[in-house]
Amino acid sequence: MTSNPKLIPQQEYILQGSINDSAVEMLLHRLQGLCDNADDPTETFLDREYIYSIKNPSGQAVMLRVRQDLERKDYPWHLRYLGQPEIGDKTRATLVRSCIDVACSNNVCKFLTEMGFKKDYEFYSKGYMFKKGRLKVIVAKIFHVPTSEVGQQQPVFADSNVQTVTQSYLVEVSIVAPSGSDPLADEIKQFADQLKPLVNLEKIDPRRLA
Amino acid sequence: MSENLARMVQRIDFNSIESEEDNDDTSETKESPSLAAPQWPWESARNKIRSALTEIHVLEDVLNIAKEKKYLVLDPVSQDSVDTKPIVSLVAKKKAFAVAASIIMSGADRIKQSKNDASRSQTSDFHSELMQMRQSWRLRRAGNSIIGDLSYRSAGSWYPHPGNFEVTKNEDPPKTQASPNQSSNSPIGPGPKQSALKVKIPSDLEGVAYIHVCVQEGRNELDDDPIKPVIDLEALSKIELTWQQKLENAQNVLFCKELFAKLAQEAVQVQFPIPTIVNSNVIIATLFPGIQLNIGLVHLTPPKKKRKFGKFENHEIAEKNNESVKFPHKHVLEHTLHQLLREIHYNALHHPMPHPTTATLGLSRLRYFAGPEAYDRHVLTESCKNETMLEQIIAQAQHFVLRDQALKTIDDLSKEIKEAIIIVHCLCLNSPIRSCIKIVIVSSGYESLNRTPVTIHVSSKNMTIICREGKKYTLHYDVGLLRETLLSIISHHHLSTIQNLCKLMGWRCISYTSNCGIGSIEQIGTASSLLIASPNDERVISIRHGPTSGAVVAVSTNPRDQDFYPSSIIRDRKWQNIQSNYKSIDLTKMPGKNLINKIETLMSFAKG
Amino acid sequence: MVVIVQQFPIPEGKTGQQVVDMLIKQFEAMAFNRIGNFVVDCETYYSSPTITPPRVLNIIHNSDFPASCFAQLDTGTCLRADSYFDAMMMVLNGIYQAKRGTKIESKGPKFQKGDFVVKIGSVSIGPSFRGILIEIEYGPCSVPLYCWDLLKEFMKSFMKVPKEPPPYLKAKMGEICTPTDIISQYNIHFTNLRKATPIASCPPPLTVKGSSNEVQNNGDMA
Repeated sequence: MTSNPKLIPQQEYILQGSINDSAVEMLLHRLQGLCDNADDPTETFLDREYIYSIKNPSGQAVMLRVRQDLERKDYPWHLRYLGQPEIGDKTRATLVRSCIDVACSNNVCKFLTEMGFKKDYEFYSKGYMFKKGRLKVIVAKIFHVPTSEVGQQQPVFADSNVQTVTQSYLVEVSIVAPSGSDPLADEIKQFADQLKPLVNLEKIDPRRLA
Repeated sequence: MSENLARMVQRIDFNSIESEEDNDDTSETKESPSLAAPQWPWESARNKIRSALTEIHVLEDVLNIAKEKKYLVLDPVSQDSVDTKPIVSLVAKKKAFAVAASIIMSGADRIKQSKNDASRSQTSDFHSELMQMRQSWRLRRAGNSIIGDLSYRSAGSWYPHPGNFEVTKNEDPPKTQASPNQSSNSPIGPGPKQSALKVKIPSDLEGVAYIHVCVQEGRNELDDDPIKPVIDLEALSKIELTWQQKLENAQNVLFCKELFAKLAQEAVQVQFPIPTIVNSNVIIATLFPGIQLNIGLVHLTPPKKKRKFGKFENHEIAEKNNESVKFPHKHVLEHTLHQLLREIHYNALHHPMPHPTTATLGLSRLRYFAGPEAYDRHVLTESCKNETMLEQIIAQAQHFVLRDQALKTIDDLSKEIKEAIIIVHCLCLNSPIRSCIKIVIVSSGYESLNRTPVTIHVSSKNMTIICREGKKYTLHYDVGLLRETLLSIISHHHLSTIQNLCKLMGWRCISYTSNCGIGSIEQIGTASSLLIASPNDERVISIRHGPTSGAVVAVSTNPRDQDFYPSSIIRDRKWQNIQSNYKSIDLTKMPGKNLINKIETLMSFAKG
Repeated sequence: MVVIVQQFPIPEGKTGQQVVDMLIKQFEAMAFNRIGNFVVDCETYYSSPTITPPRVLNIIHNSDFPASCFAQLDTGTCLRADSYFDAMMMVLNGIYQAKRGTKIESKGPKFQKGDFVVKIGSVSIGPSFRGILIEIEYGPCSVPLYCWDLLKEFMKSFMKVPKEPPPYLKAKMGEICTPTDIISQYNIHFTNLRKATPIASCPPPLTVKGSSNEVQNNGDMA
């Protein structure tokens, strides 16, 4: 099915940053003003993400992400592949990485495990979502739920048993588009500049952080 | 000696020296930027701050030294008292005072004048008004001019009209007294302030526009312009508008234009069973045979100078205005059109948010579920169908017409039918293309005896009649059929009421046929017949009721006579029990207000 | 809906095309309406030696579920995903590899009459013809148990029917039939037909063989 015309390679253009908990309120107000549908209540979400990996014969790991919406249990789960991020030179405004988005049924975890994938880790992401045109803006807090006491049982996301990872919120501005639509990167950059100095959105290469 | 020095020093004008130094400084700074500027933009500022710092330091030192009094003592310099003549100084002071006074006076005059001007010419402040405008309109600066945005683009419209307007300062002198006076005649009280802003609207957005929607019955010639604007242009041209009203009007014109352009586009693109016609500024769609929907864009520009009728946009002469409006403008449908376009705008901006957050943005919810939930082809094709605006408005107009006609038919019928009472109730819960009419048929005086409920569902193209026993008739748009069906339902109602009456009176129902084949043929439907017998079986009443022919009642007795006289043929009394012939009864001559009443009377007679 | 996929035996001395033509004529004679065509295709991926235990992954598309892509492992787990899953398989290239020339597909006309939809599919791998699969769908019911007799009766009108429902369906008689079940049935038949020798003119009696294979396969699935 490689000839499937629907399978145009997609790329994600993304800028990331973080903001301290105390200032997030201000950022949310600003985002609500800047983004579409300012009159609607802010969209919130609570997602759980699992990261699976598998080694290919040459020893490289292929990583897949599975996301589940905990507030809307009937929604399809989301399987995602993210390619290596390209920082590019100064002229490129955002990080670019290839991505494949697949909505799938809720047995995807079992399916991946049976395929030979190993679960690396998982986390919860809770926060707010905005959009402006094709831009997706996410302000989210990352949580970790200790799974020590539970075996197969899914841990419950509750105030009592969550651990925050940092004292700040993750801010992401992204667009998913067919590859080669570089003007979109500038659109993101322009938008990100409007959030200064509350939050500085940058091209962050996770490999360098490691 | 020292005194002499002090005096000499006193004579030196330090100011001039300082100014010289200043000059030096400036010359230095002038030089320095040329040297340093390329390095750092703040160079000169820093230099200045630094020199200021140095001076402050020096000053501080001087002050400290002076305070200590150890090294230096500051002595006041005794000045020679200039022997002046008191008169000279008086004159000088007087002069100085006069100059100062005149400056203050002139200043006060100017303020007073400007204040007077403001209250007299009633112009408000340009900037504060501009700020006001900014609160409700999108403005931006382009060079020296201020450009505003009238378009609905930020609300989700894709209409290509730029929709710009220009804001300028109102340079016109305040208008002659005449116009404020004129307006002050109006009950508002003080005349409107003359605005400091002037808005310049593109010429094609000037004037007043609206979408004229009317339903035309009876097919006229196509070129007959069905749309008659109902705006009095003359009155329009007289009204002075504030910029806010002007902009709102222009925006309305733009909206109407977009709406019409979209409808016209759909009229051409969408294949309707009966093709629509787009004729300059009118779209004609056929709703039912002989009934058409006209949607027209009416755009009137106020006359420029002459006080004549404004010209129609496409050079149609407004003489026709004088004729009375043939087909009334349907405000509800116009409103619907506005709503539909706004909904399109809304949907252009409001996509469901992706969940989980990494999911693709902009997919419809159904599309997102389609893969994992394995929606089949049928569901997917259904979801892709979305009705165009024109289809929706046609469906609504059809419903509107059909409902009106149905109600009119029922009304006429209830006026016409004296025998039964028709109670009509329109449910308030309805949708633009579906409504429900409930009818209850009763006979006057016998309301509790029998009620025949009928429900009519009116949709856009057909009507469904649901009867109590679950019978369902689907009728098309022909209201004649509705009338006929109701007539036959009423006919049945009469007979079932009589049956109920029978039970009440102790009579027996011998036979009932809902479609009897005897008698004259009904124009519509079939007649039904009922045969009832008195409790002692001595009387039999036969009733035949047809939807159009009405009731025919006949009575037969049994036995024929009370007395029996044996004859040569009939020898035994038992033969008397054979039913006699039916004798027809002239109902018109019977007392009673309706059929049931008459039958009741008849029954009570027959009983005895 | 309840869907059953059955293999249609090809009698001796006839080619597949002849049988298909005959079936089409038969359904047309039964006043079925032809409502278009369908295709179900299946590509098989094998895991690389680094994966233990080794797995076989079938990627199946069904034209009646145009937005979906089904991925079924040999463990029986079937993932329903949208069609971008095909791109995911390219990422996994090297870990799961498709053998060339193993793509099997069943395609042919669709017929409908009332609540019944019948799909006559000719199964082929590349150019080689492998057999005929008939898919019978009954719309108003969603639990096979309740309409098995009806289906049996209907099938009797054009083919030989086994007394018992096929093993896959038999295990799920009391459950609601989902699109996954359709795909699984196809998958079982495809696996069997792959093993079968290409049919030239005289195929072996398939009913016996097919059912034995299915049993074996069902054992795998469990």
